[in-house]
Amino acid sequence: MNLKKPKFIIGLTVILIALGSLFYLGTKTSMMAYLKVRDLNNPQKNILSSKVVKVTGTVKPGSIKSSNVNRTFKFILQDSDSANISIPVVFNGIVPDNFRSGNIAVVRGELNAENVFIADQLQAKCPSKYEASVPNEGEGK
Amino acid sequence: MIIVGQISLAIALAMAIYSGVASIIGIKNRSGQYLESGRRSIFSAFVALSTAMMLLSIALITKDYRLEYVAEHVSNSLPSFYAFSALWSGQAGSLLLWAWLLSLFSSLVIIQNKKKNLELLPYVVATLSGIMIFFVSLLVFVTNPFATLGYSVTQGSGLNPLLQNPGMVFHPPSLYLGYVGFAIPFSFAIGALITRKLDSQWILSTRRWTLFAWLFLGVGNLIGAKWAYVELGWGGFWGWDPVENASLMPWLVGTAFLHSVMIQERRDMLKIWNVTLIVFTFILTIFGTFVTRSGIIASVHSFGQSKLGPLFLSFLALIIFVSFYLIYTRRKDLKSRYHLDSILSRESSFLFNNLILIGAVFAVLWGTLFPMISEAVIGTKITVGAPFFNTVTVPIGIALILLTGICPLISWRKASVSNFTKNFLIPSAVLVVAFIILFVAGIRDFYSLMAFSLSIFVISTIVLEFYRGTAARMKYNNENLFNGLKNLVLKYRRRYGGYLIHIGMMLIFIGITGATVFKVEKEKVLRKGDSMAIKNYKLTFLGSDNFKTQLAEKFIATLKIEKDGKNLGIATPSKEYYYLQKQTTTEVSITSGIKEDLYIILAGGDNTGTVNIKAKINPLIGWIWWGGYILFAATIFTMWPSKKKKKPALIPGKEKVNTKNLESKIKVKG
Repeated sequence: MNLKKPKFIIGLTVILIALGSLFYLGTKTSMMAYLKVRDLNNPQKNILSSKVVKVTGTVKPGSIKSSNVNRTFKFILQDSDSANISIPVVFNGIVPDNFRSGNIAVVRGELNAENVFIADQLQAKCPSKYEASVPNEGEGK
Repeated sequence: MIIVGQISLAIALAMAIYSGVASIIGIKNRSGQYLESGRRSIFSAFVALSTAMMLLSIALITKDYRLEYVAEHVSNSLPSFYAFSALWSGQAGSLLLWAWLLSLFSSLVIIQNKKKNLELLPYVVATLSGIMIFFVSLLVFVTNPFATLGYSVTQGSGLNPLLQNPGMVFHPPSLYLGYVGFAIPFSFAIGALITRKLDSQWILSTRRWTLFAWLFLGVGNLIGAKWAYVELGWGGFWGWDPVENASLMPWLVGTAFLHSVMIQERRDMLKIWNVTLIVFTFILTIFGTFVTRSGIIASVHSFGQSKLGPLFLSFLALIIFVSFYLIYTRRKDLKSRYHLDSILSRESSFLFNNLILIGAVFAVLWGTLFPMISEAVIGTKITVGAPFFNTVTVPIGIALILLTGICPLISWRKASVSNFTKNFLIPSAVLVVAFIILFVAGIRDFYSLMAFSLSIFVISTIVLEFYRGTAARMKYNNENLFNGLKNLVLKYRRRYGGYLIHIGMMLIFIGITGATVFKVEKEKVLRKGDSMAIKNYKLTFLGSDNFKTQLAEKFIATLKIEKDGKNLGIATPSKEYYYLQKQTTTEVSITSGIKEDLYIILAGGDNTGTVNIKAKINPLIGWIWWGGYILFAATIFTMWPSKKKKKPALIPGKEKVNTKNLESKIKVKG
């Protein structure tokens, strides 16, 4: 295949440059730190200048309180490895069906002055950790 | 029965190993007997795996809790329909489905090629056996579906209620048909590389398999999108989750492959590119299976973390190494004698289409792996997420729509300016008119304007192609309109079927644009008798109801829907709480129309009879599903064997001459 004709070179270059700049711009504008609860205040982990971050942790059992007919949710998000590190979270909106005590949740938002995490997005994980949690979850482990 | 299941898996493994070894010995010693026994043991593996599939299905339906897999995935009250679908709701079962489909497809390939591709087939069988050995080994040694629980239970833990949806019954098998289907063209490519028979034979022999795999992978994704839309209660259909991306990527590369093989068949060019594309497609299907199972990339869908990760990674590395070693050592045989003649040609527009599709794949791959890469490089996980995918894929999608319109209208080799103008005059006028109308109608978002008007442009080019072809037949063959159209489409299935597939894709693009850019949503707390307005709809809350069934407790709100003052009936969004799994599910109410869907979510309610309702208007979303139906029907139509042609795929030279003649006839007539 002869791609040495100038027109092809120009065409290919244009496409590659366009794609490259899309990649660059897209990445630059949408980067967001994805942290564990314990790293939220760790400047070595929370390295991006934006205060808005994603935080993953375990919803503390029994901590979910909803008010205003399920419009506002308050709960405690614990670090999934060390349960004594935790943050209070406030989320306004509809929670996914699999959001419940003891499950893993990912929240997006930022800490306010009172050290409460104000989330504008909440994802819950594990329902479709299709393997259900039964007495002995032995499979594949 | 459990023992029989375990033994049949062991037999399947032995047969797969034997088939691989016998094929290699047969190839080395040129022994037809060994080759034949290798092929037969593929059949035996199929029988053994079918037995295992049957036994596991029976165990699930009869709820035989001695098996760990059964105890974990069904419960006493689960209907048989969903109990059966539990076959692929877990790790072990879905891997069994993978292996079984592979043995089924391999057997079909052997039967199909009884009298053809005699030189390639031994290598194909050896490659397929290799893949089978990997999957069946996982079943025997790592995640055995017939593992016993060791103690007795009288109640299983049940299927997650979110999975109790017809989507669950069709979505995973459809994806697996696609994933496994790509193993066939891949194996033929490997066979062609080893034997250095690198003409178009391997492509022609597996064209239907490729289309089949491409179709089911695409449809599987669409079913998944619909399922998410209906079941998950957030009103979206695609979330750029790693697992979703993992099944999108092989489909995109497969799409590129389906287009670029046409250049090889016709002009004997791009050989190395096509081999590389199919290798990448298969690698991405294995990568997809790996992502879903390893838990290595955070996803809302993945199976639990397991030790399958490293095994899949090693298998992936092996495939990559072998494939690229073969491509590298065969690079001279992959050189083409021909060159691209002009930038204004069908070939070069296909090439650009390919580049853009591959660009899309890299965008998706980059976004998916970015968190992992950033963690490895700088120690912090950085996600890019949906904003990245939207920034990058929307312009790529628009460029693709444009090329879909242009490609089929440019002639092969070199398009003349007059030919170009003639073909494009009407569609370009349509494009401009559509753009102006949409602009006047109030659409100001640039990308949406482009997506809509270019889709209309593409559809107009296709309608024009049908018109020209039919008109030519009417004039030269004296056929009436109906027969002219019928014969045109039936005679050139691939070409006109392809156009119909493009129409389906355009509807999907229109639907995605409408539902993503123009959605409206509103949330309100309502007391009995209260109403809320969203666009020209009015929802009045009539009351709520609470009752218990065997499986779940249900809370249902009843709302009256009015549109422009006209009564559209009753909506009953609900929340259901499943006792056994301690899982709440939100059942949304969807009122579908051509123009838009009204999507009502019951976000919450309390015992005073107050409810929190979220309503959404999702414009044009139905077009995605309709586009999907067209895509499905058109692909089946394209794949359907023509009766008149006598086994065209048998003789590669002839096929090429044939299509060329047909094509030039059409061109002349058009």
